[in-house]
Amino acid sequence: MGMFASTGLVVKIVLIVLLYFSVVSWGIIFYKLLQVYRANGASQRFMEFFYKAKSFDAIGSQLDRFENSPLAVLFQDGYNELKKLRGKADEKADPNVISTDLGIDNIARSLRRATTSEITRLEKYLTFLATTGATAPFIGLFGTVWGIMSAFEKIGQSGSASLAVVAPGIAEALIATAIGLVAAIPAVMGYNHFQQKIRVLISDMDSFSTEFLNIVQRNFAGR
Amino acid sequence: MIRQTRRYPGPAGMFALSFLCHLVVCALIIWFNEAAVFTPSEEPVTYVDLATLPVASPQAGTPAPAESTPAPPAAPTAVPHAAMVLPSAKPKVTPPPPEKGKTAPQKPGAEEGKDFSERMKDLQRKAEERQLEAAVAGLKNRGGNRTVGMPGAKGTQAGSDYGSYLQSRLRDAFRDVIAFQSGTPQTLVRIKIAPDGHISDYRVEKRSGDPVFDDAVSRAVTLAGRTLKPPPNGQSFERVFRFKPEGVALP
Repeated sequence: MGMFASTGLVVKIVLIVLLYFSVVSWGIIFYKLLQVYRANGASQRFMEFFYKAKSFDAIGSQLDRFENSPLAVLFQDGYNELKKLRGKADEKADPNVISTDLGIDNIARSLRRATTSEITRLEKYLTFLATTGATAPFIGLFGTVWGIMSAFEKIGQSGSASLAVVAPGIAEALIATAIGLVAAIPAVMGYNHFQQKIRVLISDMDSFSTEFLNIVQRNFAGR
Repeated sequence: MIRQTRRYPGPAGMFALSFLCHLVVCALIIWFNEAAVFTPSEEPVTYVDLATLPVASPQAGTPAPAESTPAPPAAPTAVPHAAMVLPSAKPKVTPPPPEKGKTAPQKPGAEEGKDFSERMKDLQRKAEERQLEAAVAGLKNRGGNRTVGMPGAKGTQAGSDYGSYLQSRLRDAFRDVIAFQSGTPQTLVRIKIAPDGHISDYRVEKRSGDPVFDDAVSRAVTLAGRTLKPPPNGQSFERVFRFKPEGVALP
């Protein structure tokens, strides 16, 4: 703390900015850990329930149990679209038969839209982690360079270049680089970790969309 | 709709948690820095007065007594020599023929040897006693105050006053924290030590003009003040010290 107090104004600002980056990064890391953990757990439980259920209506009535699962969101959007198509077909003749050309495409588009929406939700705030990981070391380096410049200026004014004079200024300057690295390293690690987890979830959503369309085509599409 | 019913804690709550974590980490770092200040274990300092140290006696192999002490007698060294000429063998050489009607002789040679041996032992014992008394007298003459050179001394003995003790403590502390920017800074500091050994007053009489050096002086005084012995006789102690890059001096 004494070292922070003895630094110059620019280095102080740099340190405060880096501290802000660190606080927000860790906040995002905590938030994403919770979000991805819950999404994975709820998706596994939803898939087990999905394969055991006998009808879409039964699944649709239990969706509140899987509120954190992106797959449940996909199912809900697809199921709503299916219900609309069935309602439209009901007006014509057979309620269990929907047009192959228009109906399946509508459901596929609905699933794609839901997938995109879920990916956006899962990847939200991750750009801040990437930005922190990429820029925090450079911001810290800037603070260090500025601090060393100031230290050399003081040394020039005092006229003494002993270790006792040079070392404190450089030590104060180097703290900016250290804090920059402290902010950047967890951000980069968190970004990579969540990217990998979200990629798995996207893969699960694609598989589920295909499976949902297959079931719809098998059971509802007209020939 | 599921999207509306989701109940995540939200990023705001997590930011607050992160802020708290940073506060805790900062507090731990500050606490660790405060706790990890190197405090060398202070051993009691004993000053040895080299000027009046006893000089080893080449004859006896022991510290020589003081000037007033008489030299030990040579009796102990004479004992074996005297023993060699004991007349114990004399009766064997010229035994006088015994005469009839007279009592048997009382072996005068043996008795004489016995007396001589006893006298020598007596002399040896007396010499040892005198030597012991002389050594004790010598120690007494040196001054019986056992606190000579110790921090608890009265401060009248050469090289052992409380001011010198304080100076050495300050010098040791100053060596650890010294820093300066200007060429030859000098700071005059008046320090008052309370009877319990704590620094009760600390005033800078004359600043050096070098803030780094003045700060180092202040830190040195604080560091030294943590482990000071109390002044002698339960009184407070006050003195001015001159801090220089070379060390601490008494003005």
